[in-house]
Parts: sequence; structure tokens; C-alpha cells
Amino acid sequence: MRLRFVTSGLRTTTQDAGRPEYTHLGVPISGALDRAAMRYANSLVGNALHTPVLELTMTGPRLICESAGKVALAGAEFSARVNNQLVDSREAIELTAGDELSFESPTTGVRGYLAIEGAWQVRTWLGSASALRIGSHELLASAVWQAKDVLETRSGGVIPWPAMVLPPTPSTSMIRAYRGPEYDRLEPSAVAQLIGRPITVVAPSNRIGLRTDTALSLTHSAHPKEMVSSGVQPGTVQVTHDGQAIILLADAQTIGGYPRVLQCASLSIDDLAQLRVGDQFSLTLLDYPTH
Amino acid sequence: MTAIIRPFGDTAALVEFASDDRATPSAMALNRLLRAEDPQGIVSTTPSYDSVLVTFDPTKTSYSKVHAALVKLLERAHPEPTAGEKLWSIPTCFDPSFALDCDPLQHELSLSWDSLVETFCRSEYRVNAMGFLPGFPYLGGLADTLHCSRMKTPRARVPASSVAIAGDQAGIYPLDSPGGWRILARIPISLFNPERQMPALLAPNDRVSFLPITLDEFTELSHQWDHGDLDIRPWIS
Repeated sequence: MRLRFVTSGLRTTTQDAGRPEYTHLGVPISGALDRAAMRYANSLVGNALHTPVLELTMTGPRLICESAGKVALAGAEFSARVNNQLVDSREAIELTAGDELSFESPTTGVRGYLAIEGAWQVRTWLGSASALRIGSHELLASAVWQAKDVLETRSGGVIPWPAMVLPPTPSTSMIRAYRGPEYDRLEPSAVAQLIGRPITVVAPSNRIGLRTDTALSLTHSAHPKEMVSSGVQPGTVQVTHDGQAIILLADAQTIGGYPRVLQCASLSIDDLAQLRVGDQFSLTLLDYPTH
Repeated sequence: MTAIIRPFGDTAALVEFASDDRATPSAMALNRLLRAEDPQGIVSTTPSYDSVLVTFDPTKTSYSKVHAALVKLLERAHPEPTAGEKLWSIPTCFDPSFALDCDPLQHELSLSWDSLVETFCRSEYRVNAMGFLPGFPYLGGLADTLHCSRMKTPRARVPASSVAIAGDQAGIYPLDSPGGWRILARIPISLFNPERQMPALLAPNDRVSFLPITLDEFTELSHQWDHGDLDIRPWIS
């Protein structure tokens, strides 16, 4: 299948399962923020679940189909239009040469995932086709789509996923989290502010992390002010010296020197991908199972 | 050795070593074993100073299995140097045109530029962690007399390949980036290049020393590097 970009949308990138094998060299994991949406969209077109997808951000691209095939949409509700007619995007969308595919921006959520049938003919770096921006550097520039670019996939080469994948549960603003390594640094007032109360996402928030409107007090007794840097993950909730909680996402640094007070549950990380600046969410504390 | 293993969310274990001189070599030794033996279901390992973060795929393993594997590996994670470890001798230019903090450093440390450079080059450094930017090495081993403050307001752009110090550490910027460390030199090669299959030249636990070169030598080496004509294998032992 072949698709030509007429417009790129706000930021449309190639994403897959990322490159977690290189965190020891300081390379962010990267990859699709909403993994369940990526897997589901791929399953609808018969691709292996970690085949690359297009990650759409707030405004989708406009695409012309140059050779026929199936596409499918998941994640935030970017209603799809084919030749300007709304189509049912709960199933795969069949496109023929000459069709124009466009999207309405979602009213809630941030990121949509467009799966495209077949084996993607794109460059990879460190085992992943995912775009990764570090400051002003695009480490895999061809994974950031621009007007006039052409995306091509070939049939074959992709192992169809044998089982049916259930649609992801609708994204929720109830985020579940476990105690992080430095949970004890939270003063009781900070715990009361962080757990079970509405928290607002503030700017700048992006694929590196979500900033929040929090001002948390940390205990300093028996702890040196500067922590020795240690590993962090997507979903780690760090508290800066100013008391702001930041929830890290896939493009975050691999180690950090701020207290890691919580770690979001793996099932909640996809929900974080859909929170906008101004959205409210709340954190629920989970207990570790006893071993 | 003294290490604590505990869960960090539902798909990771954090191994923390007691903070003493052996913590970093022990963390590096554990990381090396993890990468060599690749226990089932391990997704990533991130060593840093006195800890190793280990993430896993819960569809392929479980926290208790990862915990058990780590306990076994820790018995063998001896911090002695091993054969795989590299010692880099990197030609480095301390010309004032690269040493953006030449003046403030001399002032803060009360040292002449020559003795500052000599002190810096006398030490051997070790990569204690990589992070902040892809391929940025945190180098331990900075002489006490060179411990210095960070800039109050970070620079908007530190040029790639700048050598910098802050606190008790040294580092090398792999990419142009904002940064608050004190810049004292530049190396003629890029440490990190996404086009290379192995993008970062340095790895955790590598040792590094800096050999002062003149601006002319720098220009020549840098030219060779840009044209792909520089063989850096003699820099490694």
C-alpha cells in the first residue's frame, strides 16, 4: 500500500514498541505512548502487533492513497473521513487508489494511531522505527512525516497476529500507581495532595512527560538534598525541587536525580498518553502484592 | 555484597547497593552479567552509580522470577575489573576558544589555566552512568581541587563534544544542548552518532583519560574524523 502526505498534521510520527535495549547508553525508550491503541489498530489490519504505526497528535494529516490497502484507527477519536465522508472507524478502512483520507480532531484525548496494512518500508535506528526528538535534534528524522512524503508498505513479511485483540478500554483519568523508591520523601500533606485529589496537567507537557499544578512538600530529614541519579521509567512520578510532580513518558531521560515518589501501573500508562494540558486526573495508590 | 532488591511499579525491579566505594563497580558488574546472560523476560537494564533498574515483560516472567534471578547474579557480580573493560585516551584541546569557562574556572578554583589543565589530565576517569542525553557519560574521578559549581543560569547551547566539569564529576556533551556544566575543552570526535549502528562510543564502566593537544592538532584530527579517515582504535587499550 502507498500513501502520500498532502499535509502532515500537527506532529505525525512513526512509532512502534521503541528501543528499550539501549537505556544503559542513555537513549530514551521512545515508541508509541498509547501501546494498547497501537496493538489494536495493527490487529484490525492483520499486522503483527508491534508493526510501526502513525502517531497522530491533536491534528491529523491529510493522505492520498496511491495504491490500495487497509488502514485502521485507534486511540483518541480522530473521526476518519474518506473523500470527505465520515466512515466507521471501529473497523479497518479499505482504501483504493485516489481516495483521500482525512481526520477530524478529537474532542478529548491527544494521540491517535493509524495502522497501515503490510511491512513498512521505513528506516530504523537501534532496532526501532520510532521518531525521537532530543532538544532540537531529530535522531530519526525520516520518522517525522512532512507534506509530500510517501509512506509505502509491502504485502508479506508481516506475521499476522493469530488471536483476536479486544478493543482497548476507553481511556480514563483515574491513574493507578505504586509507591516509588523515594515515596517516603513525601510529607503527609504531600500524600494528601497527590493521592485521590484532582490534579491538572499544565504546560509544557509532551512526549517527555506531563507537568502538573502540584506544589508538594518533601521531607529532607536524613536525606541529602541532592539524590544520586538512578534509573527512571515511563510512568515514574518525580518531584522537582520546586515541589512539582512530573510524570515521565516514553521520551524521558533514562536516569534522574529527583525523588521518584510513585510509579504508575503499566495499565495506566496508556491513559497518560491521552491527557491534555488543562485536563484533570487523579492518582489511586495500589499496594504491591506480597511475595 | 550488600544490595537491596525491591519492586518499582509492576514491571520493574530496582537493585540498590550500599553507598560506598564498591557501589558503582558492583552496579556495573551486575549490569554486565545481566546483559551477558539475558535472563528470560528482561526488557531493559539501566545502571547508574549505586543502582541498576531492571524492567521486565510481565507476559514472559514475573517479579518473583526476576528477583530470584537477581539474587543469583548478585552472588557472582564481583566488582573486579574484567577483560571487556576499555581504557580510552582521548586527544583533547584546551584552547581558550573551546574552554568557554576558562576565566570563571581559574577564578573559582584559584588555579592558573596550565595547572588546571595539567591536574585535569593527570586523573583517570570512569563512566559511572550514561544519561541526561543519549551517550552523555558521567565521569567520576575528578581531582578534589577541580570540584566546582554549576552555572547559575545554564547556557542555551553547549557545542557537541565539549568537555565539562560540575560538582565532583566530569562529562562530555554528545550533542549540542543546553547545559550548566563548566566547559573547559573539546574533543575532535563525536561521542554519539545516531547513524552508527553502535551510536555511543563510551559505555558504562569504561575508563577515560584526556591527552592535551594543540589547536592545530585538533583541527587536523577533527578534519580526519569528519571525512571518516580517523582510526581511533589506537586510543583504546
